[in-house]
Amino acid sequence: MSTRYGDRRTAGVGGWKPTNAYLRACVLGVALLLAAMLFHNVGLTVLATPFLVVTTWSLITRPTEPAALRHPRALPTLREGEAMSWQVELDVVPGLDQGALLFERANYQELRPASGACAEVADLRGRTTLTLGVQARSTRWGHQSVGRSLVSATSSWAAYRWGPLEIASLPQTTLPLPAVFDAAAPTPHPVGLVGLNRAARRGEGSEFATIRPFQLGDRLRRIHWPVSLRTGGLHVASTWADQDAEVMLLVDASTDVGTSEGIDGFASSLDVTVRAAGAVAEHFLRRGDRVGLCVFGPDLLRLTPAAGQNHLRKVLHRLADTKVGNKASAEGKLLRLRLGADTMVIMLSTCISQLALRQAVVTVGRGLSVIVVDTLPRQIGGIDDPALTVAWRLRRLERDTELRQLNRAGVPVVAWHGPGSLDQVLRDLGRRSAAPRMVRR
Amino acid sequence: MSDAIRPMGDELVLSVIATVATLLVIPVIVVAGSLNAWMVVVVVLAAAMVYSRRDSAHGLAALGAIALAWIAGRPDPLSPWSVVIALLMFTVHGALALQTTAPPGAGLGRAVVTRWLVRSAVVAGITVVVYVVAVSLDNLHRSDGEAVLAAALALLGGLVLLLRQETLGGRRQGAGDRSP
Repeated sequence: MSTRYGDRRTAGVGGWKPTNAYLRACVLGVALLLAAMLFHNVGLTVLATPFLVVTTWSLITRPTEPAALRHPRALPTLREGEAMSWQVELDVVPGLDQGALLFERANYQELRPASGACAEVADLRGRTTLTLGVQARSTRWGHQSVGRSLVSATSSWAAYRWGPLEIASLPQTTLPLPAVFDAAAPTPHPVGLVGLNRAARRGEGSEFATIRPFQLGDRLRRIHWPVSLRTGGLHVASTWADQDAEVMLLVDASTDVGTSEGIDGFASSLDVTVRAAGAVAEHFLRRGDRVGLCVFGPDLLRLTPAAGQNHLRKVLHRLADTKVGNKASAEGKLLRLRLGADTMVIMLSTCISQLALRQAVVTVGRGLSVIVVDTLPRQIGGIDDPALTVAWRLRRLERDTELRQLNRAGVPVVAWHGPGSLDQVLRDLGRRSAAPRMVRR
Repeated sequence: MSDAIRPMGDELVLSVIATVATLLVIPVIVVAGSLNAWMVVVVVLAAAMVYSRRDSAHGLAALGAIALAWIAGRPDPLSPWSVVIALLMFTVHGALALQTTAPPGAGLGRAVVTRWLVRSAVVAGITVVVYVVAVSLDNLHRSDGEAVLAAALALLGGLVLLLRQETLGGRRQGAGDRSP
C-alpha cells in the first residue's frame, strides 16, 4: 500500500555545516605538511597527502545550495498486518552526495529495514531527487502517531552535513482485521423490508414456500401452469418474503486481560473482542442485515444500525477507537440501549466485569434476544508469576459459576472460536422466537 | 533517536576496520623503525578511541597519536612503509567518516561502498604518485627541501586534475538537469 503523495510541502531548509571528518582531514593534512617542511621530512608529506587530497576535494565539492525535503502529509488507513511505504525525497543539489533516514518505530510496528534506518547515494548523473524510504507494517489495531523521523544529507567524504531535520509524526489509524467467521443459521426476528433472511411470513421473495390456489391480488407471473392444468383451477407458487434483521453488537471494553503481541503473537482479550466484533459485523452486513455498535469502555462509542459496505467501514473505524476503561462500571450505570423489539443483541465480553453480566441479564429481561460471546482467550500471555497464575485460575473458576448463573437467567453464552461459533445458539433463538415469552417491563 | 552507543551491523564492521588499521601501525613501525613500549600504549589507546567513539574529536586525537608514534619510531624518511602508514591512517579516517554518513543500524548499500572505494582508490593512487615523485627526486640527489616542494607540487597537480574531472563534470550535468 502506498502513502498519499498528492500534496507535498517543503519541510524546511537548513545550512550545510562542516563535520568532524572534514576538520580531522584539514588539521591532519596541514599539520603534517607543515611538519614535513619544517623537518625536511619527505615521508611526512606522503602521510599528509591523503588528508590534503580529501580536504581539497571536500572544499571544491562543497554544497552551496540548501537541500529541500518533501515528505507525505497524510498516512493511509491500514488494516492489521498491512504495510505502508514511508518515503521522503531530497532534491539533489550540487554537492549532495548521500542521504540518510532514521524512522522511529512506533508501538506495534515492524520496519523493514528493521532498524528503520537507511542511507542512499545520490545519482550524480541522472535523477534530481534522492528517495529514502522504509516499509512500516502495523501489527495491531488502533490509533497512533507514526512517521517521526530524521533526515540528513552529507557531501563527498562526509565533509559537510545538512540536517538532521526532524519530521513530525502523523496520526494513523489501523483497522482491526476481522477474524474468520461464518454462520449457517439464519438470523432470528427478521423484520426489515429487504435482506437475505427468510421472513416468518410469506410474501415477495425468492425462496419457494408452497403452491396454493389463486387469490385476488396474486400476480399473474406467479401462476404455476402445470399444477393449474392438472387440477383445473388456477394455482400460484408462493414464496417466503426476504427480510433483513437488526443486530446490535455490544462490545465490552471495560477490561483487557493479557498482553497483546500484535496480529502475529498472543492476543489480549480486547484484541479477540474487537476482532470478533469486526468479524460478526462483517458477516451480518454481507447478508444485508442492519448492524449497530455500542462499545462501553472509558467512553461510550455508539453507531446506529445501518446496512452496507460503507457502514462496515464505519464499524471498523469505531472499533479502532476502542480504549480500555471502566467509567460506566465505576458509575454503576447500565446502558440505555433504545433498541427495537426484534433486535438481536450480541454482547462480546470477557465476562469478567459484573456490569457486563448485569447488562446482559437486564437486556434479556426486556424481551430482547441476547447472545453473550465469551472472548476470553484460552491462553493468556504475560502471566509468569506462579502466584498470579493461581489467582487467575481461581478467578476463572469464579467466572464459570457466574456464566452458569447467566445461562440460567436465559442468556446463552458461547465461547468465541471463529466460524460456526453462533450457529447453534442462533438456531435455538430462532426456535424460541416462535414460542410465547414473558417480558419484564 | 540519539546515536546508538553500541555499533551494530555495517557500523560495527567499519569500527573493526578502523581499529584493525590502527593496530596494524605497530608492526609497520617495528619493520620500518624502532618501537618503544609507550608507542604501543599510545597506539592501543588510539585504537580504543577509534572503536569507542563514532563522530567526535577522538578520531583526530587517534590519528595524531599514530603520526607521533610514526615520527618517534625514526624510520627512514623515504621508506616505502610511509605509504603504508599513510594508507592505514587514511583507512581509519575513511571508516570513521563513512560511519557518520548513515544512522545507527543502517545498512550501507553496495552503491555507497562502491563510491567510497573508488574515491579511496583515487586518493591512494595520488599518495603513491607523490611518494614515487619524492623517491625519484631523491635519486636525482636533490635536497630534502626540494623533494618536499616537488612532492607538494605533484600532489597539487594531481589534485587539480582529478577534482576538475570530478566536480566540473558533475556540476555541468546538474546544471543540465535543471534546464527545461
